This record gives sequence, structure tokens and C-alpha cells, in this order.
Amino acid sequence: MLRGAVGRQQKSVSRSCYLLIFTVGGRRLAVKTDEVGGISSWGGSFPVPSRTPFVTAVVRQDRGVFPVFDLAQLLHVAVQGEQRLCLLAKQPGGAMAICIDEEMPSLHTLDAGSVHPYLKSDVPAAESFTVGFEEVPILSLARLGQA
Amino acid sequence: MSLRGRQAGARLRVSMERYLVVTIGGMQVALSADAVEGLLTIAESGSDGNLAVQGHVYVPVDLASRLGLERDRDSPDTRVVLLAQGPVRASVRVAAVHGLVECERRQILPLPHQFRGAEREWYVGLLPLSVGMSVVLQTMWLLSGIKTAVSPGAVSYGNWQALMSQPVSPSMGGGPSC
Repeated sequence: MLRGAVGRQQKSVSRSCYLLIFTVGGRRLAVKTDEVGGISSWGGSFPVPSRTPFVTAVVRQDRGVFPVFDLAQLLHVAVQGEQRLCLLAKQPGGAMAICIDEEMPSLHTLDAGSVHPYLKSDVPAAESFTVGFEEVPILSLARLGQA
Repeated sequence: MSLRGRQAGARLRVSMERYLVVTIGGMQVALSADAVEGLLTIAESGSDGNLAVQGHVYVPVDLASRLGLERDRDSPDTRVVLLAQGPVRASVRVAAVHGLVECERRQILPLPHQFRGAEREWYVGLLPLSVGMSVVLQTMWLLSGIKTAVSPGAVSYGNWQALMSQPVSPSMGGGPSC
């Protein structure tokens, strides 16, 4: 009986998907909350010339120095707003910073049934969901900069 | 062994390193002071070609281009840094010289692993300063591909010796922050 109850509980938990929705250059994107290390104000970056695509700067924060992934460049857009934000993406071996629009990110809980495979290759995302007519990719933060 | 003896031993093992911090292409770069032989103004250095100083030829290196940065326009702050490692000598034109920074080796942070390209050979690491951040260049990489040459020409050494005895520029905020 106990085993059965635990099994049902795990199943119901896995049916929810916790997302952080934000924008870069006005484009709406999502990430799973457990892949986010934090959100803070963007304090500017220091250039580090490199041959690694989209990784050409670092930011300095209280907890250390983090490489910057230029998601706006990948999307061919410009980050919007004066008070830009810094999204810290958890990655194996160390976090990576992403500059995002000043529009405050929001938390959303989706039913797992609303999540679909993302078939485009413009961003590193395997899944997406739909808001109205807009398909919002769920970025795989661990895959940023790996391609 | 007494505790006092251990502390003294540990203190001796701390090796300090010195870097000349310059601006090039809008970014701060730290060059190992061990490799710096002199500093010249534009007037002292003359043309962009090979530079003969006290019998040694310094081959110009376009560091901005090698790093993919825009080349700085000459200004009154422009300096030519003379570098040498063994018989290899090079001159690098920089937009400004900020001064010397002394730090422990452990204060230089490794380049984050997300930097996966050729740049891993370019940098020793990152040096956080009180104001800003500097990339620490690999002298070996900087001087790679340069052929040695000798010339009997004689030009003065510039003000490098004077700079060595000066404290770090106030704009550097007194050196590394950690």
C-alpha cells in the first residue's frame, strides 16, 4: 500500500513543469527554474577576446567571475532596456551569465502535457510550449555554449 | 617543528608576480613584468617597423589584431612596450600604460572552462583589479612566431626604469582586489 502511494505521489509531482519566462530583444524564452542560479542587475561585462562562439566576456559578481553567453547575438537581436538583468545559468563545472531585457522575468507552472518538442534549431532548446500563437522555446541552459 | 617555524616556511613559499597593466583595443591586458624591457613614447619609437634599441631588434607585434580587437589610434598616451624572452624580442603598441600590479599567483583566476577555443593558449587567466578586470597574457604566445635579429642601432631605453620604481597608478585602485 505504501509503495503504491509513493508511486502515485511521484507521478503527480512530475506532471508539473516549473519555468522562468524572460525576454531577450523582446523575444520570449523560458528556462526550467532548477537550471537558474539567480537573477540580478546587469553590472556590465569585461571583454575577453576569444574564438569560442558567443563567449567573449566575463562578469564579476560577489560570488566570483563568470563567463558571459551572448544570447542576444545568437538570436540576432539587441538586449532591450536601460536596467538590464543578469540571468545566471547553472552549468556543470560553473555558472554562465546571460544579459536579458529589463522586463522582469516571471515564474510559471505548466502542466507537463503542455510541453512539446521544439523542432527548430535557432536556439539550444529541446522543448517548447505555446502562449496564444507564440511558441516559447524552453532553453537547455546546460547546453549553452556547448555546440 | 614549532608553529612559528611552520608559519615562516609557509610565508616563504608565497611567490609574488608582477604585471604591467596596459590598455589595448579598449580592454585591460596584463603583461608579465619579467618580459618587459622598456617603454617608449611614439616620438622615441619612430616608425611602425623593427625597432633597434641598444643593439637589439624588437619586432613589432600587432596585438590588437591577434586578439581580434580594433587597433587604437595614436594619442599622447600611446606607448610602445619592449618585450623579451630569451633571444626573442618584440614591441607592442598600446593605448595607455596604467602601471605595475603585484599579486600572488593564486589571485589569477583560471579562464572559465566555457572558453573552449584557441584563447586558452592566449591567457594565463583573469586578474580581478580593484576597478575592473585584466586578462593576463601568455608571454610565450605573444612572442611566438617571432624571429630573432640583432642590430647595432642605439636608442634610449625610455622611462621603464623610472616606472618600475613608481607605485601603481591610482586609476588601478591599488592593485588586485583579492
